[in-house]
Amino acid sequence: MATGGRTYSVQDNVTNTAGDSIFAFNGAITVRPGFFDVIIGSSAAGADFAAEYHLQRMSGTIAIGSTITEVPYDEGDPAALMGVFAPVTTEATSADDVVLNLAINQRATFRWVAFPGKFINIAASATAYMRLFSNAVSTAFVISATVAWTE
Amino acid sequence: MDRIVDLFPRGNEPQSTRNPHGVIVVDGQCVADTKRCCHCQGHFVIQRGSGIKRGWCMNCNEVHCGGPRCWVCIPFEKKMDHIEAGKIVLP
Repeated sequence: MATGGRTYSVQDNVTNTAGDSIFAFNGAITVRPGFFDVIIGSSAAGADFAAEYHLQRMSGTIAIGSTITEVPYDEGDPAALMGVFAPVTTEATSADDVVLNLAINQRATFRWVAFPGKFINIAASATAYMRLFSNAVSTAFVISATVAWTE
Repeated sequence: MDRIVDLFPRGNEPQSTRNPHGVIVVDGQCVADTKRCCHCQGHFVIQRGSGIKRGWCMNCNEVHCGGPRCWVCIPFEKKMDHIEAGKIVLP
């Protein structure tokens, strides 16, 4: 099953409390989403607070939270098939591989970009998920996070 | 510009690699290239002198991250095919 050409992104301002997901992405059975862009910054007053984030595959039960509407890069595209939640009230139960480990200072704006053909995919399955997870913080602060994917 | 990596201005002494699979940009400047593992698709930065053992898969003909489950060749595309066919039941 090939990854389609529709591109979407979500953005949210959240407090990066350790142990909480920033975004949870619930897979769809008809597409293999490929993540290619993560941007994390902070508009809060500059401080030397450290944070560690994981882009991590999950499985098990579905994540539950407030649905956040993704933005298609092409306005003519339909809504994304993959569901996105932020904030997440109930996590998917089984943590899998950490596919991207980010250690960031609050003062810096961090961006990771994958080149075409080297995206991070999840399976086309209703039990395959991805999350952007705040693994550890020295002091929680409000971040602005953006994640882009293609499906 | 011939390469996509040239879109990102290079900072001082970035952790660069041949044929990068991704790039890390901090405050507008590229600070590191990333490679993608052929078995788990995890992106990682190759840090010279770190002592972290990475590997090369002779089947996939690509680098792998050296994670405990990635030393055995199971291409990620094959994993996804099995998950989608129900041959691998995720916990």
